[in-house]
Amino acid sequence: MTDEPVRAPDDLRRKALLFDVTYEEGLAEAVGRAEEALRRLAPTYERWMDEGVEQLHAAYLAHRAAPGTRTAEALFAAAHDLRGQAGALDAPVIGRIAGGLARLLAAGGADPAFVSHSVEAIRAVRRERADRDDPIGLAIAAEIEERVEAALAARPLGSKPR
Amino acid sequence: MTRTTPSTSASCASSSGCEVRVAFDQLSFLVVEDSPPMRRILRTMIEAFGAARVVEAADGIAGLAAFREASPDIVITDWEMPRLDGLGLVVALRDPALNPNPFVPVIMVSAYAEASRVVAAREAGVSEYLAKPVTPRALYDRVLSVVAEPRSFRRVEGRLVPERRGQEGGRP
Repeated sequence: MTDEPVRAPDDLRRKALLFDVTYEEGLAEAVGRAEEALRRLAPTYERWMDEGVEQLHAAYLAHRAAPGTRTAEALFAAAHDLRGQAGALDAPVIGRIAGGLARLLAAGGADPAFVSHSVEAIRAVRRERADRDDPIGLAIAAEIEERVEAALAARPLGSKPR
Repeated sequence: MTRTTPSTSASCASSSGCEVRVAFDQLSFLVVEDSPPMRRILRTMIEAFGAARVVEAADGIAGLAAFREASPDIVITDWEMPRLDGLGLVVALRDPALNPNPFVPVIMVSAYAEASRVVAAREAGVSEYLAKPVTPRALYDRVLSVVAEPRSFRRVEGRLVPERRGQEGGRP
């Protein structure tokens, strides 16, 4: 049995929708407060990025020492989390490299040398503070993304990503 | 003067020229995210919007427990998490046999931006999808959307799944 339509309750509309300011005014006020709160939080971004990169490195070392499903999943999770948080923490270059690594790990059969190269690239970008608009960081990210695309394109037909 | 009414046009949300905003102080949120920094960032934004209450959980299993405990108005969840991921959490939330409020709005935030992922999230029961990095404006608009324009649902094999925009059955 499928597709029986059901009307959802609109409790939240009655409870939490107001019509006292324009959409733009409401948006500007709420977003302004949130951006100010995030600015106050920003000093901790550096530490969070350091911790994220350290967690990725630790997961990589664990997988290299004992390759298996569990360590592979932990490595993927670390790369994926780093990809997700890097954008919010103003580290877009690391986000791009970690994103490429996560995609490759999700596809399975990643070249161990390339995985190592990607992890070391992330550590180097972090160590040298070569993120945002740093030309070397941007070049590394572009090179890794290109290699990820080539590796994914070369995957055998019928292989399925995670 | 502040006034509330349930009869505003749905097309008003997220569009210019309309008088509409969210009274965040009337809303409680559950944030389910395994990354502590991302949890903190989401919480910071929601609290700055003025939310009445924000509850956190670090994975889908803890999220289900927190949902039952706190009965939040809106759930914000990551996709990739240990133990039970965001899709599994949403499937459980949309099952009336498991959850007394299967209509709860669920906003999924994820590093996945591929269209196939968005479709899979919708089919699992996600109300709104937001690709990371999450900005305050994008999050505000998603919350406004689930409050101002609650989707109709359809029952699919016992579960409730939100209709896609444009396929709804004539909400006024």
